Amino acid sequence: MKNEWILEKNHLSYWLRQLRKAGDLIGPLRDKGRDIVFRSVDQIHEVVLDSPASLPSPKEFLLPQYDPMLRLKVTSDGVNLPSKPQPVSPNVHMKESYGKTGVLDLMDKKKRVIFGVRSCDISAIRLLDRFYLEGYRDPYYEQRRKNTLFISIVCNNPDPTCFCIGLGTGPYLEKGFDIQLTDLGNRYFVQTASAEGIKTVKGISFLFSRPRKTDYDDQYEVFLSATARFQKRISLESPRRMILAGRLKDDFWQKVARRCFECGGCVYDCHRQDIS
Amino acid sequence: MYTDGTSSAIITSMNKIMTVCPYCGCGCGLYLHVKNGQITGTSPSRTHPVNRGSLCVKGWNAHEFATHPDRLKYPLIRERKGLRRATWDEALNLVAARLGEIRTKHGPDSIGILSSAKCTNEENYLMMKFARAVLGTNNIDHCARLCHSSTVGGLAAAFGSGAMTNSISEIAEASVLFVIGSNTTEQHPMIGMHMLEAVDRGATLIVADPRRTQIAEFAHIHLRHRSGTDVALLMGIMNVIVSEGLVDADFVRRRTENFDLFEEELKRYPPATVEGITGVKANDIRRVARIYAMEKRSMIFYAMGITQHITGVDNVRACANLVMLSGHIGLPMSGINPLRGQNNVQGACDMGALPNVYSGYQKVTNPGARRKFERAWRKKLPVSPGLTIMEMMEAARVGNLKAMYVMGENPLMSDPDLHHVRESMEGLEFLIVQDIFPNETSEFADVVLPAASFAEKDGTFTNTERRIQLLGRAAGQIGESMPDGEIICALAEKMGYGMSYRGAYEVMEEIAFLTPSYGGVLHHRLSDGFGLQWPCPDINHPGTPYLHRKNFAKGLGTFITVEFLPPDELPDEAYPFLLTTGRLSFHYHTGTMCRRTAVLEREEPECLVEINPADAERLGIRKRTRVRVSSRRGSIEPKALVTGRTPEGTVFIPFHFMEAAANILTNPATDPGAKIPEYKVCAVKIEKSEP
Repeated sequence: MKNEWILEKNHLSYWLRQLRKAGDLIGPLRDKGRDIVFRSVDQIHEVVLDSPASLPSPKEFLLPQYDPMLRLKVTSDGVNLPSKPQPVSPNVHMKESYGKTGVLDLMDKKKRVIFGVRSCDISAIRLLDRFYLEGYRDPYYEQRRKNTLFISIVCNNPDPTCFCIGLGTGPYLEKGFDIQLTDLGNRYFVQTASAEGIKTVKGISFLFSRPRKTDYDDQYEVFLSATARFQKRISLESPRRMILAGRLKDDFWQKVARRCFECGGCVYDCHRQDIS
Repeated sequence: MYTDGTSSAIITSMNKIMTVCPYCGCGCGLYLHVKNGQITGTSPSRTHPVNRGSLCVKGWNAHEFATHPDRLKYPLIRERKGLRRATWDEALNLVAARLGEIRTKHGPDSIGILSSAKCTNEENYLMMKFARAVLGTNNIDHCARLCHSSTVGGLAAAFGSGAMTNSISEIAEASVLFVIGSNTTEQHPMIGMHMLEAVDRGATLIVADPRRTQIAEFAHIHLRHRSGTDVALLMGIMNVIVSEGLVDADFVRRRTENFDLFEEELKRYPPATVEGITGVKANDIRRVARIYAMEKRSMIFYAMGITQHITGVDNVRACANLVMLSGHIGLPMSGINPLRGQNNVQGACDMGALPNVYSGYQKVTNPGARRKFERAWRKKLPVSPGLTIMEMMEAARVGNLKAMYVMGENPLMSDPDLHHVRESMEGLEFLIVQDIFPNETSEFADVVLPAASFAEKDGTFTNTERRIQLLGRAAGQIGESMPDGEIICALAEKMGYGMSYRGAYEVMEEIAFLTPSYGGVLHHRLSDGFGLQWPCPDINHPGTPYLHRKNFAKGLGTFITVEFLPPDELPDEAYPFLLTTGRLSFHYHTGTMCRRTAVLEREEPECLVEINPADAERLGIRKRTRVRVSSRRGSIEPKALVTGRTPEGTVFIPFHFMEAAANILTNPATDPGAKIPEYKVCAVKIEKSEP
C-alpha cells in the first residue's frame, strides 16, 4: 500500500499540537510584519502556511553556528570530578554530570519537528547527509539528524528567483523526504517516505484518510501548474561541460572572486562546516 | 493538569530576536538566535531594505563578542594595588561624590564627557542631559568629532542639515555613482553591495581614492589623486562643469545663493593646474565632470577620505557645491551621501552629544532653544559651547580639565598622537570609564562601570540613511552589568537630580517632544517594519526617504567658497613617506569587539603596513618583513604587506591593532572649524626593523 494520505486543513493545528508534545516544533513565523523566520512555535495559529518559497535555510538546526561539543573538568591535579555540575551551555541539563572521565558530553539530543521547509531544503539536507554520514560519520550531525523530523510543503507558487525545477530538487519530490504535504485548497495531500515519517503519521492515523481518485487528480493538477510557473530555467549541464572542457578562462574566476565580500555567509547558509 | 505548557517549551526552545547590527553605519537588520537564554548565532533579515538577506563577515559574527568571557561583570574601583571589585552603590557613590567635589572646586567646565556612537539614541540623550542639566557643562562630545564632524558642520552650512540625503535602497537605481574617499565595499559592505548592483544594471562608477581599494576595482574611472588634494580635484571638476556649460543654471538660480562669488574662485582651478596639484590627468577630470553633470540620477558618496583632513569641512563644502552646481539634489537617486562609520553615530549627533547643540541640532547659543530645554529639564543650562574631544585632551594635559566620564569609547586607541593622549589621561584627577570590555583607556580609570551590550538592552539606533530602528533585547544581563542609560539615571539620582524613566520608550517620548526632526518617532511606531527615517515631525508622518525636496532645510542652498590648502604635514627628507590610515573589512575601530571574535581575529590577526612594491624594493623590504614606521610623534613595528594597492610614496596602516597602534604616528593637527584631526595624512619614515 502506498504511503499516501489526506489531511483536512482543519486538522492541521491539532496535528501540530500533538507533534509538539514529542519535541520542539519549529516552523516559519512572521516577525512583526517583517521577515519569515524559522523558530520555535509558541502559538500554532501563527505558523505561516502561504509563505514565499525562499525561506532562511534550516541548516542551522543541524549545524548551528555555535555548537559546544564537550566540556572538560581540569584542576591542578589533572582531570577531576566536580562536586556539583554547573549547567552553562544551552545543551546541558541539570541531571547530566561529568561522569568518571571528567568529560561532559554536550551533544544536542533534543527532538525537533521542523514544519514548513521546502523541497529544495530537503534536497540540500540530503547532500549534507552524503557529506556528513558517508565515509566518516559526524556524530554530532548524526545525532541531530536522527532526532529531527522534517515536514516539507510543495511549492505551488515558486518565487521569480526559484530554479529548483532545473536542478531536479523540486518543487515536488519523489523520495528522500520524511513527510511531504501538497496543498490542495481545503486539504493536504500527505506523503511519507522515511520510516520516521510513516511512524509519525501512523501514530495518529485517525486524523488521516486514504486519498481517492479526485485527490490524485487534484494533486497532479497542482503539480503541473506549479511547474509551469517557474520563470527561471537553469541547466547545470552546459556550464559543467564548459568547465570540464577548460573553456572558462582564469579571468572569469577572478571576476567571480572579486565580487566576494568574504562575509562567510555561504559557510553558514550552505553545506560546509568550519570549526574554529 | 494541562501538559501542553507552552511556557516550558519556550524556555528550552529556539528563538530569533530581530535587532540591528552593532558594527558600521549601514544599520543592517539581523536576527540573534537565542537558545535557552543564550545567544548562539546570527542570521540576516531577508526583507530589510539595507541588507536584503546578506551580511558582512562582522555582521555574521556579531553575536560572539556579547558573550565573551572578558565582558566586564561588576563595577571596579582603583585602589593602590589596582582595580578591585566594588558594589554598584559603592562605585556610584564614589563617582557622585568625586564629580560633585570637582564641580564645586573647579567649576562644571572642569569635567568632560565622552558619549558613545555605540550606545542607543536614548542613552546619548540621557548622557547629554546628564552633562548639561546635572553637571552644568557643555563639555560633551563623542567620536563623530573624529569621523564626520566636518560633514555635520559643512553640510549644515550649505544645506541646513548634515546627513545622507538619500536612502540606501535608491542606490541600485542610480545611473552615476561618484565615490570619493570611501572604500565602500570593505567599510560599508552592504552599501557596497547596492553599488555593485547599480553597476550591474549599467550605472557608471567613478572612484576617487589614492589607494586601489576593492571598490576601485569595479570603477569605470579611478582617479588616484594625492592624499589631501580633494578640494583641488573637486574644484577642477567644477571648473570643467562651469566652463563647458554643464551647470544646471535653473537650479542654481532658483534654489541657491552666492554662486557668483564662488564662480570667481573656480576660475583659479583649470584642469591643467589641478593636474599639477593632484596628479590626476586633466582629461580624466574632464571626463568625470561630463559624466557626473550630464547624467541625471547621479549620487555622490564620501567617507573618511574626505572628512579626516585639516581641510575636512572645505572638502565637504566642495562636494556640496558640486551637487548644487549640477542640480543633483532633492530627488530620489540624486544627492550627497556621507557614509557614517558607527552604528549610531548619526543618532549620537542627532541626540546632541556634541558641545554646541542640543538634540536635533538646536544650538546651545540660541536662547529660544535653551529656554525650551531649561523648562523641560527644570534646570539652568550653560550658555557657551563646550570643548571638543581634541580640546578636552589638550585641556586635560595642561590641567584645566580635571575629570572625564568616558562612555563606550576608547580614546587611547582612537585619538591621534597617542603619546599625548596618554599624558592627558594621566593628568586627570578622576576618570570614569563605562564600557562592556576592559580597554586601553580603562587602564587609567579610577572607576570602571560595566555596561550592557547591544544584545542586552532596549533602545534605538539611527543608521547612516537616517533610519531609526528598534533594538531587540535578546539576552539577560551579564554579571552585574547594566544598560548605559540605567547607569546614567542612577548616577543622576545620586547627584540629586531626578531622572527616572519606565523604559527606553519613555526617554524617546521626551526626545520626540524636544526634537523637531524626531517629533513622530515613538517606539510603538518602530516595532513594526523597519523603522522610520527622520525628519519625521509628527505622529502620522511616514518618514523622509530623501532630503531637500523642493527646498533646502535652510531655505536656499549656499555656495561656500573654498580654497585648496595642502595637508598639515607633508613628506620631507627626514620623513619621506605619506602615511594614511583606515580600516580593514575584518576589523572594526579600536578592536574591543572584533578582536574578541574568533573568525575575525583568525582572518586578520596582525597589523600589516601596506607598501608599494617599488618602495619596498628600494628599501629591501619583502613580504612580511618587520619594519619600523616612525613619525615625529612615535614609532611602531608592524609587518610589511607589499602591494600595488597603495601608490608609490604612500603607506597605509589600519588603526585597529593595539600592538602596533597607527595613532601613535598620526598628526593631531585639526580642521579649524570642525576640530577633526588629520588622520589621513602624516609624514613617516620606514626602516627595516632589527631582527
